[in-house]
Amino acid sequence: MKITVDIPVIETEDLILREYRDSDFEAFAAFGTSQRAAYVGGPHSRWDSWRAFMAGIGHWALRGYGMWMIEHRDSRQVAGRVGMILNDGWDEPELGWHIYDGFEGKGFAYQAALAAREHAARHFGLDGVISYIDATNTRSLRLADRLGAKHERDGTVVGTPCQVWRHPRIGEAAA
Amino acid sequence: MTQTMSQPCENPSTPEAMAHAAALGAALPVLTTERLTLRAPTQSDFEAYAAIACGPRGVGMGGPMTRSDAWYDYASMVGNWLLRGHGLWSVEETASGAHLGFVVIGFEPGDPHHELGYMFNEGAEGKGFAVEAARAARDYAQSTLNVPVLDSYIFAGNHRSIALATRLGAEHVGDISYPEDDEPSRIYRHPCPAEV
Repeated sequence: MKITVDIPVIETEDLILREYRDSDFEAFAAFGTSQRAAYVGGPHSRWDSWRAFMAGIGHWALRGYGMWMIEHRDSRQVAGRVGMILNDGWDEPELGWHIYDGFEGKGFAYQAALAAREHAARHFGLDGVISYIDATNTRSLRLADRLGAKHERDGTVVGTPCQVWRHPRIGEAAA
Repeated sequence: MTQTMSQPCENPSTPEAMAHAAALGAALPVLTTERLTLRAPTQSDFEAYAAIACGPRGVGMGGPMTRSDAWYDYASMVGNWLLRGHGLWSVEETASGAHLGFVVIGFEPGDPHHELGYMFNEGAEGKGFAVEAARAARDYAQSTLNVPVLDSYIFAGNHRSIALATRLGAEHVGDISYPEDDEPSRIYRHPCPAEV
């Protein structure tokens, strides 16, 4: 038997934001164990990747919101993760995005983050949220800017220095 | 529970999010025994988990863990329900509503079989609560989930846990080494339903 729960599905032009599936783990672990994960506390061992994968699912049940898997509609491949995260010791829920190898530079992160941000504001009561971004992660900083977020302050997340960017509230979004 | 240890993330966030979390939690099975209720873990139960995992009792779980590690550990055992249909329960004394600890039907990297795990706080000791809760989880795993083999993986120095496994009828059938641990664990295999 399997417990089925209601993780909302969001469709955008190119992407489907949906629940986690067993078959997503290889793509998740490929990202988590690679240098691409350097900005999200990695790279991690495969063991830690498994725990992080499961914890990403558990986050939904504990908090009522979380990160979605991003499926690329045309190829049916997993293109990354996006959504709202609040891990232990964080100040407030953040909008996070991870784009997997081969799916960068196509505007997918922008599309996914915009959809997730709007859903969080309308359905989770999370509006005017933050993103934690490493000061050297130029791609993410550029995306935050494109999303209309503003650099609010320099802070730390569980002891690691980072920038805190504040997204516009839903009525203020320029997009 | 110490108020000073508490983190913003342990508090309810928004009514919308909490309603959604409650709906997800309601999908998990509730088990009841003579004195106990095994129910879905909540985000506010994390403080009880951290108190165990980040303290001396965390040694038996491969810790003591940092709070951050304890959070990922906790959330992953909750997530297990959604992907695999089994996971972590919070254990409450039904009469008082007191939170006593946790039991889990888990399956982690390196485990040869499903694992029955139990983590109880100090106050819950000496009253037979852990064995009562673990027996309920074991019976659920075997009769409802039809799990073929159920083990507990325990460090040789964790005498309390070994005593509990033995009381449940489990037998030491071998040892196992996990890459992330400094010492091997003993495999205690639980009896099949016909043998119980």
